[in-house]
Amino acid sequence: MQSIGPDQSQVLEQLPEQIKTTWRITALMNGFWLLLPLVGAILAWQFWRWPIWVVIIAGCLFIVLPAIQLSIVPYRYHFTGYLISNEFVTLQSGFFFRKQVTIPITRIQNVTLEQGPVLRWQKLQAVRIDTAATSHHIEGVSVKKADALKTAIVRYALEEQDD
Amino acid sequence: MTKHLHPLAIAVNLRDIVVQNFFWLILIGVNFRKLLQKGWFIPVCVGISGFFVGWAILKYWRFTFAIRNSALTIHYGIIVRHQEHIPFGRIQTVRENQPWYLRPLGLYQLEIETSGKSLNKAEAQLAVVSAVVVRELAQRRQSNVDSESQEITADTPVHSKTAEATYDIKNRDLNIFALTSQGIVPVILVLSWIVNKLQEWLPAAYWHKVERSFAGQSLLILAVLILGVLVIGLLVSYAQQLIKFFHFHAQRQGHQLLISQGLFSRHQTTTDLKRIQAICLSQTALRQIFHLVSVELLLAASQDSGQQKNVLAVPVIQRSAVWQQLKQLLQISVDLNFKLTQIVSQNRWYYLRNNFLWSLLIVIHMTGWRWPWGGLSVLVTIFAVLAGIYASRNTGYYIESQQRLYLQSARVFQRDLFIIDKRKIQSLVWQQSWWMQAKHNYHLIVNVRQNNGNHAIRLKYLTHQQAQQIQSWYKSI
Repeated sequence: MQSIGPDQSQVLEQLPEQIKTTWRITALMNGFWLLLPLVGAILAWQFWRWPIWVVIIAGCLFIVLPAIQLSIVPYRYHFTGYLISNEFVTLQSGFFFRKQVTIPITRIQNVTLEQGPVLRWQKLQAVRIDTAATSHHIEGVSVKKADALKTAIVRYALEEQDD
Repeated sequence: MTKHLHPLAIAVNLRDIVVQNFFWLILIGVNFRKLLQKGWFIPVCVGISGFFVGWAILKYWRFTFAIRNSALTIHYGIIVRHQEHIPFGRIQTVRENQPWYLRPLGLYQLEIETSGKSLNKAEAQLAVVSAVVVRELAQRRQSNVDSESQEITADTPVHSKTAEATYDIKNRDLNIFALTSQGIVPVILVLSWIVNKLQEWLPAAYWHKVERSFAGQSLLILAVLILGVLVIGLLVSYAQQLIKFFHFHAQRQGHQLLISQGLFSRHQTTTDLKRIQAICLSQTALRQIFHLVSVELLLAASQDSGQQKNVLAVPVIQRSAVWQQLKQLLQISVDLNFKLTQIVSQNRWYYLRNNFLWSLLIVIHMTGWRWPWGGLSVLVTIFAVLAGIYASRNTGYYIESQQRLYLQSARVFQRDLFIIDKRKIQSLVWQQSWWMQAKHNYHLIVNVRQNNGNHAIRLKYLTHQQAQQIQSWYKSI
């Protein structure tokens, strides 16, 4: 997978295909939360005579936002990746707003593996990488890979720790 | 030897308890109003006061500390006991505060911070201690001397080593610093809002009477009001800065930097030079005219949210003298001939455009204001566009060496030049929106630790070539 950062010769590893399913489920769950303001707007329109355009806006948000999220899943997948070398961890994400983070191994304070019900169902694990100031995520890799990543990062960090 | 705080700490504890429980007191007062009116007021007040005083005394009694050979140990907690053990080697910053009410008694408040990230406040806070304790702690930190072998008294100097470099603020510099402070901006905004509201609240007849007495010269009234707001804003901001930075003194003793300041309340900060994450040379547009610079330090330490984010090492200094001062005070040698690589001219337009679009949000709101205040929206747009031009011309970077990078970013008529060592950069982020891809432009974010969190230094609209240069510098060993 090609890097979107300034160093475009870099080749990053792509996330497993199952991550697309988790993103689609997240988009549908976001849609469910947008149902609440829509129901609220309909009730307010019925009982308190709120203007109809409030219902229309809430309705549009309910349909459009999850639709956008669902439709960009293949593009998002194309631009999301990671690379772990002896000295740096590189993470890449986003479609409309693309981002590439470079973290020196020596700056990593701890690595945490996380798994919610959706990730567990897809047999994936998220990896959280903390520095003294910032926190970064690999959204999901296979459980085996996550464990290997954690071991590799911690090993590099122990070898390279300079202060 | 285990010690208690000074007994005055009971009063400080009491104040903290009242402040923490103020919300509940109001809630009780409102909900039991009728009961309190039926003769229960005094017994309830006595009961609550007695409870609070008892709590404060218990808190004082259960708080003990010991300054040992290599660490400070603190025991606290009324029901759940805590033991805090802070080795002197892990201490990042010590803040000695002397509020006005403790000054006549020669007492201090101490805040001791390490680089731990678990708390959002100083790891150890000694509410009220004597000067002897402050001296003992300073000496132990400096030399880790054996507590049994040396007796420390009130006459023992606080810092045994002599200062290797000092900086004292001159009265003239302090005046210029206070007068050129941008602290006037929020004061003016608040005053303008009050004047605008007064116009709405005052009866129209009264306002017309004022206008008539000026023979319908509404422009004259406007000019007088603006001048009044400016003068009051300037005075308030001047007084604020004067009180804060009065008798500012900075000195270096070996690797320790000591900074003290304040008119009514004295504050002293001690930090190790190795703990500095980045140095920031800050200049407002006004201070740029006078060639003045402020030197701020980004430190790694936990801190109360109420305190200022950065430590000011030199409040104000001539730009020509700053490099020498950095060398003496912070032991940093700077390349004097550095020249920033700036944003290319075709990308400067984006700064202007973005500021203009943001200003429209304020302008739309302001058009609803009464005349002549609504007319100020034109000024807001001009101000935003000028701020955009200023930011585009003052953003840039310079790679000094394999290990050091200079980044200059600009806010609203203020530019900050950060001097950062590569090993202090926590992570480097490149951002590119979908529509920026065609032009191959990038936003850069450099993350540096600041107190307990992160300071993101942003450089927007760098070209692909500039981005490549910074990325390859960062990844080279």
